[in-house]
Amino acid sequence: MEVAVRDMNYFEIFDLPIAYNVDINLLTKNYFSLQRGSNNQIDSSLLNEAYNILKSDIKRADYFLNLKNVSTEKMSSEQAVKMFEIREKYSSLKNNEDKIAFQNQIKKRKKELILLLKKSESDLGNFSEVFSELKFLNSFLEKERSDVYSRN
Amino acid sequence: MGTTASVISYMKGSVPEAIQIDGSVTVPSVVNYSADRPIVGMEAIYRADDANTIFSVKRKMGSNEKIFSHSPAEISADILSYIKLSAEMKLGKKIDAAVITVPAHFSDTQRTATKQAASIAGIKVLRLINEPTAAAIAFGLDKNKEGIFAVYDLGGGTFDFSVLRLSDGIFQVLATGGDNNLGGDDVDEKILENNFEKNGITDPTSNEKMSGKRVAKFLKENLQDKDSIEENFEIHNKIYKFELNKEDLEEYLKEIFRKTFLIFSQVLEDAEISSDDLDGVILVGGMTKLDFIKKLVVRNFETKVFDDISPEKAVSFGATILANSIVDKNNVLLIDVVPLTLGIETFGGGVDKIIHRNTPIPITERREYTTYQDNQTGMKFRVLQGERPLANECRTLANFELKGIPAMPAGRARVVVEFSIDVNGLLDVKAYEKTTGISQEIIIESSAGLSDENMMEILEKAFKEKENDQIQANNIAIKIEVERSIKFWESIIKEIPKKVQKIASEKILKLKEKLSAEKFSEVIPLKNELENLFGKFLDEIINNHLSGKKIKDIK
Repeated sequence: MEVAVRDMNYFEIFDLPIAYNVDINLLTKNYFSLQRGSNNQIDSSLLNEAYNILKSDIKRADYFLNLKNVSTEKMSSEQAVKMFEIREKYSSLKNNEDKIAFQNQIKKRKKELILLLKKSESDLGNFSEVFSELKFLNSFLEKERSDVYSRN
Repeated sequence: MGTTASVISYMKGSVPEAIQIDGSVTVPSVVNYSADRPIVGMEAIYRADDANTIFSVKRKMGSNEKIFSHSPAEISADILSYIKLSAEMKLGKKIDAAVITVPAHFSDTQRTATKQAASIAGIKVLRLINEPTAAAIAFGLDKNKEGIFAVYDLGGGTFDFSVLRLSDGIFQVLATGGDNNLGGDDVDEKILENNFEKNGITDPTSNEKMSGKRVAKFLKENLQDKDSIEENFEIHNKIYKFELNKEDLEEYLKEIFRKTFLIFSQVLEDAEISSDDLDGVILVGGMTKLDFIKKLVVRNFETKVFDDISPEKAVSFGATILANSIVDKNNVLLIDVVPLTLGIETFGGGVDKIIHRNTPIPITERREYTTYQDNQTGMKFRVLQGERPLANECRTLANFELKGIPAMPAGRARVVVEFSIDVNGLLDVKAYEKTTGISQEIIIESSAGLSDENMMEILEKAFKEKENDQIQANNIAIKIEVERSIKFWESIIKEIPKKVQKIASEKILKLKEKLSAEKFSEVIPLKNELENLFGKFLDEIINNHLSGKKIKDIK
């Protein structure tokens, strides 16, 4: 049994179809019932790892593409230029309010991209292109937000 | 274990109940080292003008700092020992194990130090639980609520904000965040500075600052709906007027709230919800008792704000419920998260984030690294905690080196670093080379807190003090404790109302008799009676004592 669990992918662990669009409520419900199961066949930390990836729109996309053997590293040159411009634009901003406004713009774009992902599941080429932009914007925001925690 | 006060509770039937110690359920987290044994709680506050008194040791947890030659873990252990023994006398039962609460954003080092404190005090730690999570458990079970709730926990020294989903005995933390150094103390500090300045007091001594801070705190807590409030403050027989007006206080509080705003906005974003999704905000921590803070929270969240649970008790009750559920293996399911990101320093001083904050625990994550020189046989790693992108801006938890990698060309070795976080939020790191299967014991040089050797030494000492027979040892501890209490009561007996002085002194006499006859079964109830009797007046006595006045002079 133990070996079988290790061989399962994260979707299978929670008895879900291998698809980007996931019913989060069902995922969470199954996660709870597996965590609560008294004769746990699946290690609690494996459940956490799997749940943590599937519940996140971004991590799930990455995992899904990996399962489909699609590389998530490649980026079109057009896209690369776009990313470069974003970075340049941001670093030219001097005052804090402009920076926050810019960040909010990016956050909005992030939300749009997630919606786009959900619609383009059937076209993996398109899906992975949307994802690479999303991935970039996410790590961009992640770097900026860490400022809030400067005093830990 | 609070910064300013601690609470201990137990399961009475199916509901948690706080144990009164020295006449109150909150025991001041204060230790005085002027006698041969540490003095804790109310009596330590009574001696607060003594230079050997330590306040808010929780702020120092996990640091290397020594205070009067004691490490913060040892000082905390003294507080825990006192609370444990006092509670044992009240319950008439030995306490073996406990769930201990820590701020959600406590670092690994701070958690380890807390665990060390417990083992020095002879308490087995069933679990370390995050304070806002504990508060939510108490709240959820008490009110039988379901939905998404936030805990806004603003205390004397720390701020925590957590978002949880509560449903059917399940407590799932979605995200958490906080600041180690944000709270009511900052406001007291501001009030104090302002008044020192107004009164032209320059270069106050640390004692003057300490008693000044008490006055500042008093002003803050007693202003309420008045426009301004005054209190005398005495230094060197000269009386100064300390004052606080509403405008100033509100300005200080707004400043604090603004800082919390930055943090909780981030946490809501991490939880991927907006404040409209919240079914309620639970207020915890002493600062949330202030109406103005409450108002700011209400205005900001536009959702139901729950302030009807006792903030100090709620955290302790949640811990008690969890302790009970661990021992009874009943159906409470708690899923907490990693408060701060953990990673490894990369070549060039960056951070490779291995476990991201807000990942549910327990969790294990692995990363693979390789050698960058031919025939490289060792690899050094620096374990980091924090959100900053540069290694030097994060907290270093440990340095370790994997040795004995077989000689091979650069880039060929496959070194796996494995981070595991257990249910207590404590980190364990392993490293091994994959191609050869060589796994080496890693050497973790603890960068803060007590080293293992230090720990062993302290534990040995603690065990030696307890000696052979547990009951015997416990009786000795009780005897010492009761003798200390008697001494304290005798020193303050003249300050309690005349009517009760006679009863008190008779009881003390009787207690002394029983104690020297070692009739412990009679000692404890008597001690408890006296404790309750004196407890009623302690606050007043301490306040008068510290402002240099005596009750009898006033009445």
